[in-house]
Amino acid sequence: MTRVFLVDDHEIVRRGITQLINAEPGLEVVGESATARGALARITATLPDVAVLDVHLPDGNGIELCRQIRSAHPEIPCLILTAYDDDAASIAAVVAGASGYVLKNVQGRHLVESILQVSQGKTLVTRELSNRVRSSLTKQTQAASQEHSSRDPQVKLTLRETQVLALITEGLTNRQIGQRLNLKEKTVKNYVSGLLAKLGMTCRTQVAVYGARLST
Amino acid sequence: MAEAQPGLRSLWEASLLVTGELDLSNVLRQIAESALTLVDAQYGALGVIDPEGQLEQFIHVGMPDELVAQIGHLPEGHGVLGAVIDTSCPIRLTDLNKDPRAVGFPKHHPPMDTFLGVPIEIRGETFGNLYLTNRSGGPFTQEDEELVKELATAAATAINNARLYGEARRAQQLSAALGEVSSALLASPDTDAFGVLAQSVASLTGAQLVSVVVSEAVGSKLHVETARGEGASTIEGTTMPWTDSVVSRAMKGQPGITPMDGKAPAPFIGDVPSASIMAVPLVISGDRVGALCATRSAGESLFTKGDLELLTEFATQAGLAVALAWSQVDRQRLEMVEERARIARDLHDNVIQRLFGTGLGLQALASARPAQAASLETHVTQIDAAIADIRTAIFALQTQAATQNVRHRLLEVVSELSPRLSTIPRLIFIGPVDLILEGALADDAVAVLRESLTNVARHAHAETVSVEINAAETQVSITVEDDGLGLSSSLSRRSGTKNLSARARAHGGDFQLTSRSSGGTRAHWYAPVNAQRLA
Repeated sequence: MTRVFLVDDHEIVRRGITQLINAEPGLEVVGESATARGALARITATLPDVAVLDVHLPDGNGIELCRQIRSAHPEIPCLILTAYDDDAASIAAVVAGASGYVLKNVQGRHLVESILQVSQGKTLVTRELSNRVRSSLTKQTQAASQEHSSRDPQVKLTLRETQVLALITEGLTNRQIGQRLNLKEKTVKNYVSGLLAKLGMTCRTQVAVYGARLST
Repeated sequence: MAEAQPGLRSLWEASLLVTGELDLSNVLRQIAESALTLVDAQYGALGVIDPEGQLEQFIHVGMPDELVAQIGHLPEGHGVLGAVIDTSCPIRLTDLNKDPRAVGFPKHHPPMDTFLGVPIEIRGETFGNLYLTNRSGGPFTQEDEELVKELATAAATAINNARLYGEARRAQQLSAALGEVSSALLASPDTDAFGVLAQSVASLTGAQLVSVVVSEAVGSKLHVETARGEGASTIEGTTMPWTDSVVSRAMKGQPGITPMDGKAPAPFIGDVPSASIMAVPLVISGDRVGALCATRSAGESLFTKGDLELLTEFATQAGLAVALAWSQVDRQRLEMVEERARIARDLHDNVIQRLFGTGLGLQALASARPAQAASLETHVTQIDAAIADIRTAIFALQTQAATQNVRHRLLEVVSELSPRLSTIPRLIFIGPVDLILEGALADDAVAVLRESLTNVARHAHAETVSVEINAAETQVSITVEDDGLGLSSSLSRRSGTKNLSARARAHGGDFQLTSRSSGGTRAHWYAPVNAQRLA
C-alpha cells in the first residue's frame, strides 16, 4: 500500500484528490493539511510514502516546506501539484527539490501514475530539465540585476547564493548542501530563503517561487 | 509765454509723443526722433547699454538707409560715445573731431561736428544715452542741454512703462502658453508631449522651427526627437555627432543663443536656413532629458536675451507639466498591471481550483455510475479545456513581458493576427515552452506560428482555429488546426508552406499539411530539441 500525504489549501481539491487516490487499489491518503504550518510535524508523525503538495500556500512558501520535508526525511519523495503552467511548475519542482510535478488537469491518470512512479524512487525531473531551470534562473537574476541596478542592487546573487542555487538544481537537500559547503543546515535554510526572495523579485519566476507572497 | 519759451512747448509736445507709446522699440525710436526735432539737430541716436556697459542696441535717426548699409556696422561705443557711457554726465562739444577722446569715423561716415550726449537714467541706473550731432545754426547751447535732459527724464518714464508693459505681456503670453500645454498634456495620456511643447514654443517665441534634441549621454550622438515648423520633416528623426554648439551646451545645462556673427557651427544636419538659434535644457522630474531649441529663419529678427529668458522660463514650467502628465500615465499603467495581476490571482486561486475540484468530483461520479460515464466524460473534457484556456489567460495577464520570453512572443503573434481571422484562435501551451525553446529554435517557432496563421487567414476561410505549442525535452511541435475549406480547394495553400518545411528541415524536423477528417486542415510542424550545453 502506497501512503500519500496531501497539502493543498482548497478543500474541494483535497476532497477530489482523496476520492481519486482512495479509489485506486494500492493507494491511500493517510493525512492532509491546508497550510504549510504544521504540515511538517504531521508528515513526521505519519511518515507517508509520497507527499503531494501545492507550492502556492496561503500561509507561506510551499517550496520551502518541500525543501524542509526533503531535508528532514530524504526517504519521502515529494510531488508538486499546481494550477500554474509547465514552465512555472518545472522551476518550482527543481527549486523545491521535488521528484516531479503534476498540473491540475482532471483527465488522464497522470497524477496516479506520477505518485506510483515517484513512490518507487523514480525522478520525473530530468537532469536536462534541471540544467535548463538553472541556466534560466541565472540568466533572469543577471538580467534583473542589470535592469534594476540603480534602484535595487539587492537582486544580484551573492557567491554563496549562486553556489546554493547550483547545488539545489543538482537535487541536493538543505542538509546535503550544508555538508558540501561546510555550513549548518539552518544557515543553508537562510540562504535558500534569501535566494527565493531574490528569485521572486525577477518577474518571470515570481509566480513559480514566490507566488504565495503575491496575495499577502 | 508760449512765444517766449518755444523750447518748453516743443519739449511738452515731445514728452507727450514719447509717453504715448507702449512698445519698447517704438518708444526708443520716438525718443530719438523727438530729441532731433527738439534741438534741430541733423543726426540723432539712442544707444542702449547692457549691464556690462557695452552698447546693446543703437537706434539712429536722420541717416539714410543706403549710407547706413555703406558704413556696414553700427558704433561699438568707443571714443566720445564711450565717454558719455563712462562718465554718465552730459557732454557738449563744438567740434567732435577735435576732442582728444575722438577715435575718428569709419569709411563712408558723413561728417559730424557739433555734439550733445545726454544719459538716460532710470532709478539711478543708466539705461542708455541720447546722442545728437550737427545742430543747424551753431553749436548746442546750454538751453539745448537742459531741454534734452528734461526729455531724457520723460523718456526714462516711458521706457520704464514700456518695459513693465512688455514684462506683463510676456508673463501673460507665457502663462497662456503653459496653460495650453498643461491642458493638452493632461487631456489625453497618449499625447506626444514633446510635439505639444515644440508647437507651443513656436508660437510663443515667433520661431519658424522648434525641435527637441536628446542624447543618451553628454558626448554621445544627438538625436532630433521631435521637430515642428518649417523644414521640420527634414530634421526630425535625424542623428548628428556631438559637436560644441548652442544645442550641445544646452544639453549640458547651459542655455544660450548662437552668436550674432553667424560664424557659429550649424548644429543641425542639412541646410536648415537659420539666422538665430537659441537652446535651453529641458528638465523633467530632475532628469535633464534634452534640449529645447528654437530657430528663426534668415530674414527674421535675431533672438534677444529676453527671448532666451522667455524660453528658459517656459522650459522650466513645461518640464513640470510633462512630469505631471507622465506620472499620470505611469500611475494608470501601474493600476492596470495591478488590476491584471489581481484578476490572474483570482483566476488561479479560485476559478481553476474549483473547476479542478469539480472535475475530479465528476470523474468519481463517472466511475461510480458506468451508465453515465460517457456523457460525464464529455463534461470533464470541457472542464480540462477551460482550465487550459484559463492557464494561458493567467500567463497573458502577467504583463511584465520580457521580450526574450518566447511564450509572450507567441501570444503576441496570435493577438496580432487575430483581427484577420473570424474568431480569436485558441492557444494551448503544453510542456515547459520557455525552458525548452531557446535561440534560433525560439525565433523559428515564432516565425512558423506567424506563417501558419497567415496561411489560414489567407486561404482557409475558417470559423475556428486552434494552436497547440508542445515542448518536450526531445521534441517541439506546433500544430495549427482550422475548420475551413481544406486542401483540395486551394493549390496555393500548399505552395505557401515551402518556407515552413525549410525551417523544420534546418533543425532536422519536418512539416506536414493534412486534411482533417472532420473538415479543414491540420498543419503540423516539429523539430527535435538538442540537449542544452551546460553553461
